Amino acid sequence: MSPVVSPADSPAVGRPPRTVVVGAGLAGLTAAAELAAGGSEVVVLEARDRVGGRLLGVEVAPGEWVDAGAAYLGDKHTELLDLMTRLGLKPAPMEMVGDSRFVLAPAGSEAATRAGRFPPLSAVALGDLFEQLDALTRQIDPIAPWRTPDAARLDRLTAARWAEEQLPREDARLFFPLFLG
Amino acid sequence: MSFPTPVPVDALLAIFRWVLETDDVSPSTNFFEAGGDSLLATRVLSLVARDHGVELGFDEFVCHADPAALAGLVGRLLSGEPAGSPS
Repeated sequence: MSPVVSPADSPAVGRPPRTVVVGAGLAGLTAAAELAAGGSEVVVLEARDRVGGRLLGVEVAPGEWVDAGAAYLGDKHTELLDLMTRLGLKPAPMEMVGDSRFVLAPAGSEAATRAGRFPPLSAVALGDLFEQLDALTRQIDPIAPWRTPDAARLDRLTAARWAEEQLPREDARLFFPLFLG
Repeated sequence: MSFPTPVPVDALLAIFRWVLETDDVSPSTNFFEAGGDSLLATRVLSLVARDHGVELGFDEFVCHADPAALAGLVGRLLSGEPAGSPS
């Protein structure tokens, strides 16, 4: 959730109220849009170099985008569907259609892309990712994760930083957010 | 003329047992019949690359999906021979 802070010296007579919204995720941007529509001057602060928060699209091949963050909404998300309608956005049906969504490349082949297909990914690179995830999760007791060796460091480590440190190969880095998503 | 570099079947047995999380693996155990799937297969290929320096494709693994056949394939590749069919 994004805290909304109204400066104490506002509103001055004859001036619109001024508001600072911290965080440009879905909640922050929605709050900012409604405040602006209500006549407030709004400043949105965001630590990252992008907006969207947990919403994130990744272009895995030219013109081929996948969701690497929040992706699904249901019929009962009436407010969100209403907002999308007002913004002229359409949901896409989520039935699985067509062939598998990623392809393991033959050894030594060049990764090639064609419409509707993501580049074939190196089986060795993906195996390295899965092997490392397995080695990491084998140490963790899900009932008492704080007892994991090195728990304090792992607790501060983001998935992105872990991938940066552990995955030298591009194919594994490409696949990791899709696997998490 | 080159001779095949022998790759001990035991090395492949250890990899299969680690990935499949069972000791019930013999040199002729088929990976997929023993519960392996394509995701787990990529881990075998990663460990083969790490331990033996040979990067195999998924299709090659499917055609050499037991420890003995895979050891033979890796040995032939290390000797610079074409992969050929399982021996």
